[in-house]
Amino acid sequence: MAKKKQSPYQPRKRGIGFYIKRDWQLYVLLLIPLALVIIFNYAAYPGLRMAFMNYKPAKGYKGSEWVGWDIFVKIFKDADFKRALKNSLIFNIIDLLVGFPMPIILALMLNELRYPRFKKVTQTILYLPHFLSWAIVANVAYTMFRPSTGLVNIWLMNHGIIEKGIPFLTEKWHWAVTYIIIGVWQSMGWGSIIYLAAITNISAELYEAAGIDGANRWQKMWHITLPGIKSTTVTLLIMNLGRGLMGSNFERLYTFDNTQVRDFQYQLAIYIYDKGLSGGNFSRATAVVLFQSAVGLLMVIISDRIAKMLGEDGLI
Amino acid sequence: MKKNLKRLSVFAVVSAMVMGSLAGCGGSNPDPTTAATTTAATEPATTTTAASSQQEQTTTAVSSDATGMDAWTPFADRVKITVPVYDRSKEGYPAVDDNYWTKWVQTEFGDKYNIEVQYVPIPRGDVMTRYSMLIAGDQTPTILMEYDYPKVAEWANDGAMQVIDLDKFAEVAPTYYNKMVENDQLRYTDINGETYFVLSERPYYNTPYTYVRFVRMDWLKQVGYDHVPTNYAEYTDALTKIMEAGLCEHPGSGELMLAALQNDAYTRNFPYREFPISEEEWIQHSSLGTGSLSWEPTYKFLKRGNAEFHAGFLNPEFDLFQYETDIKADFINGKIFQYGGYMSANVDWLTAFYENNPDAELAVASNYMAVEEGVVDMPTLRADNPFGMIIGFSNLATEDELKAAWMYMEWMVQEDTLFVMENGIEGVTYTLDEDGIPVVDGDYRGEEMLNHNCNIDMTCIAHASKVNDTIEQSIKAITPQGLPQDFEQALLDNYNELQEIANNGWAYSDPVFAMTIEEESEYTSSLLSLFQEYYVTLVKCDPAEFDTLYEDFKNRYLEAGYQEIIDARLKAYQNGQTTTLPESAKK
Repeated sequence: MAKKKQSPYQPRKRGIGFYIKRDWQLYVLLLIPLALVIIFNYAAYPGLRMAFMNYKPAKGYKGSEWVGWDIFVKIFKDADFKRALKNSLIFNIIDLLVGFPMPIILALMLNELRYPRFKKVTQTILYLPHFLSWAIVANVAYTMFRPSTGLVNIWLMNHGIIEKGIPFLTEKWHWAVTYIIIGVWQSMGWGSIIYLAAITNISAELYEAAGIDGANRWQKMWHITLPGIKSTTVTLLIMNLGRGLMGSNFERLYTFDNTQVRDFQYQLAIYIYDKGLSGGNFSRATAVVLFQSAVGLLMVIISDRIAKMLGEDGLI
Repeated sequence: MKKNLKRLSVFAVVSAMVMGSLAGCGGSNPDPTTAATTTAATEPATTTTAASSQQEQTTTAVSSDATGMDAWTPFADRVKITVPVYDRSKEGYPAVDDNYWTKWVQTEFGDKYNIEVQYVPIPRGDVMTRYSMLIAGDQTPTILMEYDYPKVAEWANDGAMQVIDLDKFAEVAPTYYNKMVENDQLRYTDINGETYFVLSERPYYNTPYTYVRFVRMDWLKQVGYDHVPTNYAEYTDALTKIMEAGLCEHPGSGELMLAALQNDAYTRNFPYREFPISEEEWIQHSSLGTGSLSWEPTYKFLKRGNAEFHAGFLNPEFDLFQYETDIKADFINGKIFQYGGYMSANVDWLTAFYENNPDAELAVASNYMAVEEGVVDMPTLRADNPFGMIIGFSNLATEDELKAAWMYMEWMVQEDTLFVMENGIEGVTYTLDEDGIPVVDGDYRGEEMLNHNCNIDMTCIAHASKVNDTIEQSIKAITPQGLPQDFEQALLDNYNELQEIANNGWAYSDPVFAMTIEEESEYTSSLLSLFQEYYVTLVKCDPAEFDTLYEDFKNRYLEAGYQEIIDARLKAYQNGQTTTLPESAKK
């Protein structure tokens, strides 16, 4: 087989030392996040063996008894775990269905705003909820939505729209709707940033050409903007599927807790805290988190394959 | 000469060791083979035979002449001890682990004996998690302490604490040890047959006079009462009339029910229990750890709550309130009939109440207010445990650290130490009144200010509350100052009423287990969540549906783990690993 002739225009291959020497400042900067990832994401891995032990902090790893899969068996037999798992799945799917498209829609709408000052003010208002902690959001929500003393119910009653206060946060079905909507409201503004960034990468020439061809704004949005951010959307969807389906936001659930909504509020994050961390049962907490992670990883792989089958780039 | 001196010192050391060993033969260390059963015994009046024999072995008081502080010398090398201190995140107070008084301890005690005393903040609302983290990180404090027996039992059981020798403790800390003997606390020192704990004192444990409930006397007068309600019929009549007179929308405001829901659900059914009580029922259900939803007294309590809810006494949203914020604010703003709290010279909510309601008049509620024939026959109340902090020592502590910790406790329990720690500096944080009783200035905010409740989170290692020589003096010291009304006599009357209740035998503690109930660790947190859910549903449900719902919830609650807990408790009782009821309360 003849040796492939190297093109005189192809850059000469150089050793790694050359690149490090040339860009050493960048590599030094890279060391910082790399160290953080190694320390916080990988150095903790040996701790996962806790899930297979009856771990007692005072006895440490050496003194604690190795119990194999016992903890997992116990968890899967636990009715509370089944309830938490079911709630987590249902709420995360709803959250994804409702919450995932919202930032995209919002980004598309923001992109269509033509008056720059109005656009900036709107964006700031939409981003603001992201910076509020869940404790504040929940407190404000309870003040607004209490059945008889909440501002919203008082207003509705004073205007004769309702006779009796709506239990927005004190009846499980109402709670579910309010909880989801507040979640979307809190995150959609911030979530739209990445799509807006993707939109700015779309060539302006495409819009000009479409304009010359007579496309209206809706058609431009549908045929240029949306396809232009498709790969970003797919990447984020895969990440959301991996992170979102099994996980749950402890702060959000905890602050929106009350005795009448536990049927729905009891999700995996609460289970981990209630039956794991708060009682010092680290083995159980670790086992549940390990299970969540394994399912999350599986979801990422599956959704990545599906994306590739549909002709997208995927993530992995 | 040098050689002879060496020989002499070797001889002295060997002699001391031999004498020590011989002394040990007749010593007062509890026999480990009997400890498992003996410590299980119980309330002062009702020791079992085994318990009595242990009592004889261990209750010999130690002479403090040759031991204790007089015998202490500074450590050759600096010894560091870590001491937990509750962090209540109170606004306006200095850091609990670094303030004037932590430095004072270091100067007055630590530096004297070459000991470094370091305080470890423990969030009051999340004790177990913080301790777990410390233990997991090999940072177990030298001293571990808590008010709840099951918690310390769990630490001992999990190996976070070391077994201690009470004789050695008595040598280093004779005053502390003798107080334990005086208070009959040696029966609580063991778990699983080994000695792990020493215990601080809880003065007046069965007459909790520092907690006082106030009612709106001006409202009562307006509806025709010249006295506070002394039974439930009067109470409901007064509340109804207050509502009808338009003085208040929901006079009960759900304050008591909310307190029960959030803080002390398990103590609220005491008045609803039959008296005398079956010991087996008491063992199974009387607990601070887990709500006893399926027990008859809890049923009665919830049934009454349901009736009060539908009578309009309770705020319909009571379950969404926070006791320490919403309810207190309602009382301060003159919106509710009653509110209760711990007394001290400076009670902020009482001061604020009078500022907002200058014409209002308050009175101390009667302890008999809940009495109703067939439901609450007598005002039975939960006595505290006959001990304050249950204190154990880290399994990581060296011999020197252990000794230093014991020295710290002995030093802290001295009257002069406690006086300074609890009152501060004369003329700065307190003044002496005409009877020579220190009156603490609760408003003082200088560097020397006392931390929460007169430094109680530091002095709790010695005793659970500040006391004076007589009850009159103690009450005077906690009587709120600077108010338009003087409550000293009312507080004294309240104490006398509590004393009467205690004398009748109606005040008794929860059982203490000399072993860990594993089932409690497994189910308690999820049962708490379930209890709260059922509790609110039952209080708010249609009265016609109450019994059906209760039956359903009761069965679900038992199936969710409560049955396993009560079975395990009963088994422990049958094995002699629990305290028993005082004869006066036993059926």
